[in-house]
Amino acid sequence: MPIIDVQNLHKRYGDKVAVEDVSFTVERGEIFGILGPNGAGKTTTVECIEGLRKPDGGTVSVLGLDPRRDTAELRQRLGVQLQESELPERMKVREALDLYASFYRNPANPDELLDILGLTAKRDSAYKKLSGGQKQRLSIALSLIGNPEVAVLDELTTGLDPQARREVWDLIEHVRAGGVTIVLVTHFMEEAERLCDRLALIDSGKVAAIDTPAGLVAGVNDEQRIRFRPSRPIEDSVFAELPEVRSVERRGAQLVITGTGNVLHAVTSVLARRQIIAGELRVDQANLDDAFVALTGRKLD
Amino acid sequence: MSALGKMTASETRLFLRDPGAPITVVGIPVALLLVFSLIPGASEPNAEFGGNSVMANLIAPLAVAILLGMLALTIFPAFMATYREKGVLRRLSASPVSPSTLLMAQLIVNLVAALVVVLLVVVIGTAVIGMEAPANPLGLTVSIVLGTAALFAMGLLIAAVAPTGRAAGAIGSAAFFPMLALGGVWVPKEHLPSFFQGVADVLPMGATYNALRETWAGGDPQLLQLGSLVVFTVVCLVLAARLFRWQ
Ligand SMILES: Nc1ncnc2c1ncn2[C@@H]1O[C@H](COP(=O)(O)OP(=O)(O)OP(=O)(O)O)[C@@H](O)[C@H]1O
Ligand SMILES: [Mg+2]
Repeated sequence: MPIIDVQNLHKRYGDKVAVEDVSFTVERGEIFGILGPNGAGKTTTVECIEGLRKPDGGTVSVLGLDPRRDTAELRQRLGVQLQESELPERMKVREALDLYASFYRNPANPDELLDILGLTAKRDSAYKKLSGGQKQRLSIALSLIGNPEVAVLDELTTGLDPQARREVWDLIEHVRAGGVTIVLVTHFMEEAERLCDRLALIDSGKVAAIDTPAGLVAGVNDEQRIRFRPSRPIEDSVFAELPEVRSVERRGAQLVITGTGNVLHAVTSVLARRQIIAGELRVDQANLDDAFVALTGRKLD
Repeated sequence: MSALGKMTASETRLFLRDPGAPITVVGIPVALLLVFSLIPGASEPNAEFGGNSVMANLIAPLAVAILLGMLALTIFPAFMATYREKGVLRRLSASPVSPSTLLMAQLIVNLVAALVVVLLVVVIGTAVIGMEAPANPLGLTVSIVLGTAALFAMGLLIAAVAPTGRAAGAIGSAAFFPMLALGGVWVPKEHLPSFFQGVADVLPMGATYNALRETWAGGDPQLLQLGSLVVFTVVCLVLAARLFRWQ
């Protein structure tokens, strides 16, 4: 049985439709991503899962509970990190964890959590003295302090520098290894590609596709783009007649070849036979951004 | 410890760490008492005030009323509105403990602070400065309780509608200072133009202040004062309960 089951979720704010029609299921133990551009309805969707908002249509079930009816039970078993939620400026890290630990029947050990999150050295620091990454890690710690079975994390790494972002990603993998099912809301495709077992692409309140990151990319586009500067002049036609090649272009001294399947092998074989060296060689493959464009006709950011 | 107990302990720490709140709560009333007591004869019986001293008739009630007003109308609403603005209330909504527990904890902390102010003023006033003790302690207590209720109900209404901590502070001040003037705190109500003398016993600041003056001198609080405090309490609480936004 799925741990989260969302069917035909619909939510409006007044006249404005935030979520048109969203359905997906999340299995126990997976990291499930919800990816989409600003305003797609991601936060609204997870807030319905968390029981913070009342859906206007459709059904939501989390751990077999109805988030609006069995709210008290859900609060004990679902950890939440909200997009944009701070703590009182002068509250200290350890105080925040102790306070929140006291709310749960079966809390995690605050010291262990501080250790795992790399915040032990900051335990006596006031919230306002923490860096963005530290605040984010504390926020994750608070979402895990109740030993939840499921954690919903909204915009985990927005506003963090790349280094801090990678640290948070490692942390999430660690948490999942501990058996927590994770729903991750993001608009970074790199984050989704790196962490998620499966993900839902959401656009304008609708699900555009649900699949593994690799499946999404493969499904829409296996085109590759090869760029290099040949060490000696060579005619376009040599490449154009290869069956794998779709197009050949020149950009100054550079050749840009696009194609599918084994195109890289085909191109490098030609070069090898003619003893031409490919300088500044780059190969771009389709990624989730391209998948998103192909599915919705729009860019992710 | 219960969630409310834990939260109250936590809010107490945060209140004490606030750069303004503790200094305001202790400093202003103590400074008012000490500074005015330096005026020669301020603690002596004075015929102009029906045989009471200036300290007991004007300054001590003023210290209590001003501090109740500041706690209730600016400090408390600013804390709550900041919690809303920063998403603290919302984070609690997603936890097993409701944000109303935080509201309760904040009220408890501020009411205790108010009690500390009253005790400070009475103790320092009588023991250190040598002014006379309140002559109608029961009446004084009733006036303080009803005044506190009315002012905090107003504060709750401000906390209910102010979108940010700054806005709460601004709205609070905009209610506080005019009410001081209209309540006869700057100019005693007997010297106000006759129209304003009626108003002075109606608005919560003035009603509290003037009831404190009466009872300190041994009189009874006026029905108008107590009645309007009750009406303000009820009206503000009903509005606040309707308008309060938790996110
Ligand atoms: N409280 C609200 N009142 C009115 N409209 C809202 C409210 N919250 C969100 N919206 C609107 O609903 C739509 C979906 O918002 P939502 O926050 O769910 O998007 P999102 O995918 O989480 O976006 P982001 O990536 O910016 O966080 C947006 O157009 C937004 O403006
Ligand atoms: Mg969002």
